Amino acid sequence: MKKTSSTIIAAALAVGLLAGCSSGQEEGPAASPAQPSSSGAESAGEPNAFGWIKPAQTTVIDFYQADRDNPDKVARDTVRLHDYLLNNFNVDLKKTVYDVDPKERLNLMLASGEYPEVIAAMDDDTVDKWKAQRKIIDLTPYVDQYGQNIKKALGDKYKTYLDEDGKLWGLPRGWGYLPGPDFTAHIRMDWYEEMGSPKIETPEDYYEVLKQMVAAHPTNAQGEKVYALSWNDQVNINNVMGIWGLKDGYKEDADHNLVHWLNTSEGLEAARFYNKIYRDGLLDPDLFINKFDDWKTKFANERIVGHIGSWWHSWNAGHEIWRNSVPDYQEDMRYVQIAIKAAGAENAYLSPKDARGWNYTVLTDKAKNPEAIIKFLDFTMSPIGTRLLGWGVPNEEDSLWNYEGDDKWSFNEAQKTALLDGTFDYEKSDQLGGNRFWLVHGQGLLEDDNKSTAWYDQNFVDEDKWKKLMYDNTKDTVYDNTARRVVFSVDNPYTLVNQQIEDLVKNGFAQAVTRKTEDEFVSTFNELRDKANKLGLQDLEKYRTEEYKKQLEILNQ
Amino acid sequence: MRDYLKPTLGSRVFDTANVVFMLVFCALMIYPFLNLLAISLNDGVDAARGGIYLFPRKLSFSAYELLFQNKKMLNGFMWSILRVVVGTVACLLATGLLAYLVNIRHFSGRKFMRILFFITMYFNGGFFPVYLLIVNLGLTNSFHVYWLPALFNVYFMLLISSYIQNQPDALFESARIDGAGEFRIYWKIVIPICVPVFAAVSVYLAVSHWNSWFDVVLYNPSGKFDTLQVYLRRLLLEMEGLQQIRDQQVLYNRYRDLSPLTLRAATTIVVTVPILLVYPFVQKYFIGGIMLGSVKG
Amino acid sequence: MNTWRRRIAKERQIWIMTVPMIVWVLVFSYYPMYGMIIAFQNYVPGNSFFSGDWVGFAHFERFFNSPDFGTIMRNTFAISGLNILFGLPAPLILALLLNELKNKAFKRFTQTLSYIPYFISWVVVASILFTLLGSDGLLNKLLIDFGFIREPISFLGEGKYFWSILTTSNVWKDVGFNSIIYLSALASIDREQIEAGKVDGIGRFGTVWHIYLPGIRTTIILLWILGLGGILNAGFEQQLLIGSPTTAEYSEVIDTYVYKYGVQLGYYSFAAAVNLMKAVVSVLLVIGMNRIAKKFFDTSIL
Repeated sequence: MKKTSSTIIAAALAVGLLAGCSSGQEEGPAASPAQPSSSGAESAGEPNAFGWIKPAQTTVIDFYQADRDNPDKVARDTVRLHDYLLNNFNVDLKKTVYDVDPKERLNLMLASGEYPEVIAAMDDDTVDKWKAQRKIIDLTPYVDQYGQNIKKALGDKYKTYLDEDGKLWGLPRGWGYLPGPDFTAHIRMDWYEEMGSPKIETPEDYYEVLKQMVAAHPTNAQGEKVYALSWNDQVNINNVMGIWGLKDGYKEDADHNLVHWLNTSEGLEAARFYNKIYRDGLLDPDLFINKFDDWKTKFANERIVGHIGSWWHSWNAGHEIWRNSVPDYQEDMRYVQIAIKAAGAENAYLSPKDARGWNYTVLTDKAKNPEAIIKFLDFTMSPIGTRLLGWGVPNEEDSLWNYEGDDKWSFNEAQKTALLDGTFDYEKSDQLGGNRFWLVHGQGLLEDDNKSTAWYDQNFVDEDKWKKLMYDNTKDTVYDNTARRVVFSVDNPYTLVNQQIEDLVKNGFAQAVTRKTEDEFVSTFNELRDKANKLGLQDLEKYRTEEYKKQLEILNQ
Repeated sequence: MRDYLKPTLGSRVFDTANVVFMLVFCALMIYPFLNLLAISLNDGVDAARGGIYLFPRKLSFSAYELLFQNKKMLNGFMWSILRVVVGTVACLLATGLLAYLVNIRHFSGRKFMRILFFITMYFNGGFFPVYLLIVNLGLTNSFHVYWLPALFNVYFMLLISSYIQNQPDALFESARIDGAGEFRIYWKIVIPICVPVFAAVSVYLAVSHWNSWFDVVLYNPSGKFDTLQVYLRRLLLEMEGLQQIRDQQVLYNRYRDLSPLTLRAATTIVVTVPILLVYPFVQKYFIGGIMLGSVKG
Repeated sequence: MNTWRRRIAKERQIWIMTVPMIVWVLVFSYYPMYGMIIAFQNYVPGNSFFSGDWVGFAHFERFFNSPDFGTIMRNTFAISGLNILFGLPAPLILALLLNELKNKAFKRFTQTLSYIPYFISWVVVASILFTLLGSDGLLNKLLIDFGFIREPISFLGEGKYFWSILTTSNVWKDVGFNSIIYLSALASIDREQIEAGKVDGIGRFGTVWHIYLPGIRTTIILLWILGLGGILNAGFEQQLLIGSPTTAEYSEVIDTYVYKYGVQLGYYSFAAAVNLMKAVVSVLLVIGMNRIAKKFFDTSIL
């Protein structure tokens, strides 16, 4: 008895182990192999309305997108467009996302050898790593053969994506130049009009108006204190510095030499501006503690009259909430973007635009039929293909747009009116799949009309009076920043220095702004500058300048 | 009542103070839960304005309605229960047996076994080798990955072992003299006298299995065995992925798409309540003495 | 030789039972340990673990020479030390107090409530702290109303408050959960002994001191030794969520630093080196503490 029982427990554990292995093998990894369709076997059938010839065999593009996203929402929002593409294009487009850190997931894929045929949203550094291990393929032969639209869309820029051997390892996503402002100063519209819309040109004017506004509205409806400005974890110091004429945190001279704001008088002035408001008690004392949600609560409760940061902050935390919760909501209860520029600055450089794209879509060495995949990617880079992937399923009652064929298309008036009136149902229209499959298309103005863009809600700038106001007020603050791109990869000796200085500056700026006297502020600022220089800030400036000049040369060729 | 049982004045003052302390303590412990409950029962848009403490300002059940529309939640609930039951029972019995074996005085390998397991408490190969192992064993996308790699737990081995150490050795010796095998002693004597510590460890194990989500998303990419906790994390972590994004238009879309605060609160409530019910259920096993007496007798 | 063989024969059934255990631990714990060697390489994921370029102790040196090393170690020891100082005894005291409650229903109710905070994620805790301790949070309102201060104090924005806030939240979150094991240990104490103590008239405090505490001594020693062994683990998520740029000088600890400068930047070998160092320190500490416990309390956890 005693022997049997101990043998049984030992056996049970061993069986458990084995069972674990075997059952796992039966189920196997969930990689669904694409049915290979040899490139020659396609029927030369009639092209569909989009000019696309359906392949005889379904083209399966089962891709992992390296973004941290909610898989449930992705599944919900892609199903309609997936079915549309399958029926009309015979392309089976499947997007997989995980809610884990994408860098980690990619590394695990690399280490275990289990990865799909196509991966979207890979950054420069990761592309290099996968290339070095020969896990992704050179796309030039396929693009040369099937990529007319790709080459046309990228134009002269195409060659900048090639490596030194003239090979193309990934196609860019979200490339192109959308001339919309990202960051700017904001002011509460109805209160500003109440004051008689005084002129605002410099940061000092802006502060003066905010001061008077706070004096007129010292507390909100709940009796809580109102502040002139605040900050949240989405606000970036470098963007703020643009008001003082710095470009993405650096001062650039005529020879394209870059100096970090810590080593400039403009940087000191910018920090002093914030410190002054803090010392006057008009800056939210929790400005550096606020997470976006905390800031949003304050903003929505009408406790912050100004904002220097991204335009959508004031939408998300302002009128998009008020519209649905304030009983007698008036449309000018919202924030508008205004342009301010420090007295000595040649221009306010607020919105840097990197036209190169966010990251890349690559084909791995497991791709069985790269030709077919590139053919479809090429279609999505054509203007009409970009529209289809950008705006989602056409020709249905709730569609955002209608397509008649022959490149003739129009917006759905009902949806457009809803968007302009602020009654647009985002959650429902997200399910049309617009921009949910973002493989290679751009976000700039499309070449055929030089007007429309893949972002549906950015198509009506002229008709939407608030958007028009924003564009008109701030169009001079947008600038091309593509050449400033620097990749801080694992083997870049400046990666650590850069990170250390970024941390130091983030913490030090917060310390300086919250100093109680001007003298303390100046000494904190100087200390910060000396510390940063000691860590190697000047070397970093030199490195960035070199890289910048190199890129300028490539881009201007 | 005999004299020695009569409470002294000091004793009564202590009792009162203790009750008062516990009431304050309870209030501190339950506040965040009540706060979440209030938020979850509030209207979504209104909740964004903050200022909700103990009661909803604008009552609405829409968060719960939305939550229960998700059919996958029920599936997740079933996997969670299965994982908790299988994982807890397997680990408890296996670890308990190990703890007993390393406590048998005449077992020459007891030091060896203790050290063998103790080392693994601190030294591990890190992320990649463990992942590769799980992949190579074919444990990905299978239920076994939830219990097999966590079959033995060194920390609980030490806990149960310290409990067994406190028991009189004579208990096991007499059984051995009667000719009982070690497994029989484990089953018939060790488990009954260890009920309190097994109960405590099972609470810990159940909670850790219930709360696990990282191994689920890591080893179960197909989503077939997603547990309830995964759905909660999915909502709580939605914001996390946004740190890397620079493009403001993308951010605008992603932030607009975030699940409302009320839904996050409602999900926390729904995911937390089932596991809270485990503790009251095992508390009755914390009354000791009885089992010990019966074994001895 | 013969006695040895006889001994093995006698222990055969125990050894048979240990076979699957040994197999399990070799497969799931020892086999993956080859991964530790990346601490001495420049490992790139996807490359073989044995082909990497060897850099010796470079990553260890980098950690010891990093400009913030002093601050990081100070914060780690301070936060961890406070956690040990308050976090280790608190659950024991709670368990003893719960044990003294007469009303069983109330005791159960309190016990159950006490472990709720363990399930509240740090994200939620951080947002509750903000509403309580922010510049216009509840605490500041109370302090101003009662006239203690005139201007609100930025509790979350000033470094000097950070450690206490973190320790309080840690204790609050874990005290109930960690008391479970003490409650179960208290249940193991023989009733007869307690009754005998009452007859001797040692009083309630005496019962606690002479019967309860010695009765659960092994559990206490075990948990405290293991707790001390974790001195280099000062937390991670709570620092990221409760910390801010103005408190960074007090919130950066080993784990947050390794995450930021190792994992996020792709220096996996650096992260592995620091983890290896932490493991060695922990094991040395635990073994050392165990020696002391053996000498003074005649209890060994190994």
